[in-house]
Amino acid sequence: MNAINEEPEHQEIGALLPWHAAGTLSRRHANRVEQALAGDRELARQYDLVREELIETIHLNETLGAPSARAMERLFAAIEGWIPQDRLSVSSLPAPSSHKAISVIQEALKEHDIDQIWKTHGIR
Amino acid sequence: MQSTPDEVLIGRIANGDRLAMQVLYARYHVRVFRFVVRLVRDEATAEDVISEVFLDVWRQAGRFEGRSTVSTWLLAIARFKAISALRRRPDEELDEEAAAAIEDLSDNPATALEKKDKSAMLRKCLAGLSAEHREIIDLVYYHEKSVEEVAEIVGIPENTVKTRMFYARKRLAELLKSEGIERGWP
Repeated sequence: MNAINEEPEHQEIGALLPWHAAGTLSRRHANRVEQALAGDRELARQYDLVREELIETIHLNETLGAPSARAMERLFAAIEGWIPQDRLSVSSLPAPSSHKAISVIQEALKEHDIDQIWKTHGIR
Repeated sequence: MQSTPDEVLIGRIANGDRLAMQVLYARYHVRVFRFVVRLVRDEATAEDVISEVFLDVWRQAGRFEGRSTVSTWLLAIARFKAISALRRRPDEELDEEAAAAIEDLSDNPATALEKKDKSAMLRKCLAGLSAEHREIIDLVYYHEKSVEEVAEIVGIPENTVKTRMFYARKRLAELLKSEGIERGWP
């Protein structure tokens, strides 16, 4: 077998490898890729490279951290009308003054479930 | 405990429910931030952008038709806002960042040490890709978006998504090769 298989079917399967590694192909396409991988060592080697890329891309993104609390504070201050909604930039905005609202938001960030938050705060 | 589906949250947000907005923000702000910061390469700008993105969600939730997932919709808004932010930035600043990205890939004592670590070099080369290539790699690998979803977020045909991903990976292989790592593909 040649090092690089130029057949259209092979190329098409090769193009799908990143999505196969990410688990976002339809069942039908995933089956096609799996069958091709089982019978094609060159394709299987390419797939190993794709998985390396996937792992390191995730690693790279995970090191990017998260936005500061100020981004959230500014957003909800704008929603509440404490600041003009067209002035969201860091330099132009004061921090919001309602500590109660912020504490509810922080709780939401921890809980991640709105029904539980409603129950906790006796809302609805 | 089962969490509230995104689509339900959007429906509540459309009715002015602030708690639903808080939960949606909690669920997605980190991922959206990471997507944006990789495009604009500046944390302060990325924070401004995500505030704008979620404010748009607050205002436009009633227009969400459910044809795509909520996360895909968020990333599409984020991309539009990030590009707008980049256009507002002076050209000088962009040139300096491009130069910094290139410098990042040059050899220095630290780089020489990193060459021993293939994983670290792969991450370095991923960081050195162009914005267009970083974007598609991140959407596919980190944000786990299908071909169709990437097409919707980026606003390009599905075949172009596959082609762009191919060229992004090809460029990555070239960068690795220039750093002495030969992958044998493409």
